[in-house]
Amino acid sequence: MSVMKLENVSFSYETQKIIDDLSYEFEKGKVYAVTGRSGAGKTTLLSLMSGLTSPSDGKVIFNEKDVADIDKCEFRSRWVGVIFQNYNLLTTLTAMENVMLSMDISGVKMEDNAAYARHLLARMGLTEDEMDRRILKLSGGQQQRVAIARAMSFDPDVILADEPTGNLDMETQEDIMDIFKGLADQGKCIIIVTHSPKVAELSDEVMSIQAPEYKRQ
Amino acid sequence: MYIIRNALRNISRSKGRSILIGIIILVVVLSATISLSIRQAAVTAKEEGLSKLNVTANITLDRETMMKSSGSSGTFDKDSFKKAMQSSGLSLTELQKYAKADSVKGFYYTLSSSVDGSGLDAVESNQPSGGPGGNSSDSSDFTLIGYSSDDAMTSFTNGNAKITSGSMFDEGTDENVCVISKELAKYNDISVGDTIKIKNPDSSKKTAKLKVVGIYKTTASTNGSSAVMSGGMFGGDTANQILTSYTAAKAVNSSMSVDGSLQGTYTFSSVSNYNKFEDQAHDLGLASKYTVESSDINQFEQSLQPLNNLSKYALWFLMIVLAIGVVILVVINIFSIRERKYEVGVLSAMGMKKRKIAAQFLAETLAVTLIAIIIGTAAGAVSSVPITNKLLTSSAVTSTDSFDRGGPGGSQPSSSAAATASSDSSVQSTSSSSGSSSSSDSSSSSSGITKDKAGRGPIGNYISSISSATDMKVVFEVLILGLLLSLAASAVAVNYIMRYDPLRILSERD
Repeated sequence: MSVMKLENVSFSYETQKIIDDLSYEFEKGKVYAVTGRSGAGKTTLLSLMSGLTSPSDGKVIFNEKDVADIDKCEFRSRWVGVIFQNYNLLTTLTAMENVMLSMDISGVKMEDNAAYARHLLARMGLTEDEMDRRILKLSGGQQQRVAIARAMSFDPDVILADEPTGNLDMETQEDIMDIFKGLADQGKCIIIVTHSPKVAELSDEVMSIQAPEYKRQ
Repeated sequence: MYIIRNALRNISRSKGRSILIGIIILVVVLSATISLSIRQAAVTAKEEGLSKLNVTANITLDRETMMKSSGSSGTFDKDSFKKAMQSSGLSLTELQKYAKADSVKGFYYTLSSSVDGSGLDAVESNQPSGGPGGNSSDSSDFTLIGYSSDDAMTSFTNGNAKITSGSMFDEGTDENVCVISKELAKYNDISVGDTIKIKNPDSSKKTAKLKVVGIYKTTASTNGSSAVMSGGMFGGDTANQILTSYTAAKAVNSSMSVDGSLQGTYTFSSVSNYNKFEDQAHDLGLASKYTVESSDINQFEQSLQPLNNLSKYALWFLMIVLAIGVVILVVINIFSIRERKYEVGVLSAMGMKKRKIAAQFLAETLAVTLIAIIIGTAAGAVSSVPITNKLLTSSAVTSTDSFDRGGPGGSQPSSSAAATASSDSSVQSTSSSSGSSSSSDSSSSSSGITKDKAGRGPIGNYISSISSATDMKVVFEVLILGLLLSLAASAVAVNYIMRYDPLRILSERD
């Protein structure tokens, strides 16, 4: 059953067409790898699916509803978790505070939010000490893990990840992919934008996109 | 809830910014507290003063109206005006009629006459003739003042004058008895029991004798500048006033063929009653050319002048500080929001609604404002009284100095100092045939008296100190101002937040 669907989606920036007439269906319980050359519109596609921007033409459908008709803040805080390429964590906060803030924004009420946040961060391999460090005191890889934990914190239906393993070593990449596969097994839809053949290999489906000019060729 | 938690966390983590904003708001709040406290002190001083003031008033001629009505077709006819003035005296019967008005608490009157001494020398005075309240055309040596009752002798009732030898004449006595000042007694070697002889200034054959039953001493200035007694319309030195009962004065005047000046004084229990009196007197038949005046209120308001001026300047100062404060805070907020643009983008990308982001930024400013208000109001409350008193003292001295230099002949402005809130003063204006001058008799309170630099005594009875200034009203006003200030400063930030596009911010960051 598709949780997210692209229906003839096109996107232009000023006069330049970035995505042209793209259709695709994403199902629950699967890990998708979105691949393509640099500039092919992978990150733009992620922005369209997260509601950060709207398509010039076509529709992004989430659970049978046009994303254009859904409150974007609610969409991002309740249904879709986004892992940005540059993590986009709040640097004045600690790892724990970043995760908990995400839970606060989404309105998630666990029995103990702090304990749940610690559990998520521990699952990402952060130590207790690292959890209470400010973001700038963490390495790139650690920040990546915090960003993943944050995206998972409110138990979204879809996780959109832009190069989530880009700063991680091979072993950790596999760990992260295991986590994603575990989440997919729990019924989540994981969509990963990646250049990594390893990630593509470990994914259930690979969606390859190319820039319109290449397509025309 | 998390918005407030986040806001507080951001304040504690961005100490430099928070302290900078806090200091600016603190300065504004401190200025606002002091300024509003000064204003409140002025309002309170006026309200309390007026409620405690024993208001007295007199019926006087409205010369402006009379001048307008003198002559025809807009031209002023001096002769007609003079004639009208001379025939405008109110009789005792008329004055008593208006005393029946509901608003009047009490009524007394005096009869003042200019007389010369016969074998009696006037105490030399350095008072220039013709000063305010004086009458340059009158060169009589003495003023005979007859009082209708003991209440009319306000200098004695309020303790400014007291009998030092002999006794006061009986109230309403028809015997030719009088009390004189210690200076006059000493100057002429008069003792209690002696008889003095006075005469009509225009006819030395018309004389009268008065037995001195008492000698009084006054605490008021004896250099001729302060007419402690009522009826100083002749501008005479207080030392040369001969005091007796109204009945006796009338009889003496009659025997010497001297016209006296009748002065009626109405007392009121409150300012509101005084305000009602004029209408009531007109209803009782008082002609429209007369008006009711109270020197007490005028003098009391004059005593508040430095405080009112200070209040006015303080409010201007507050407005300037507020304007500067708003501008600085807006600029800081603009820089701050631009600096925190990325944070806005991330929060928005995480699904936080923009209005909640704006609320968080507002909460940060409000929290800093609240802390600044608490510290600023407390500091303002503590410092407002000494600051106000310091400013008042210098302001009162300035006012007194300028007051001293002003006025015809460079003399003191009035025979009495301005009344203070606690003063038990009476003001008497003439309603006699001359109808031209008023004099006052006031006592000064122990507080709020400003002496001139030469220490000559109270020449300006300005309020020069306050005991409390910051009350709940001021605190409330400061709170409102502080909130408005932070709202105004945050409005810019909110405007920026509402316009930001998260994707664009994050892309720019990338």
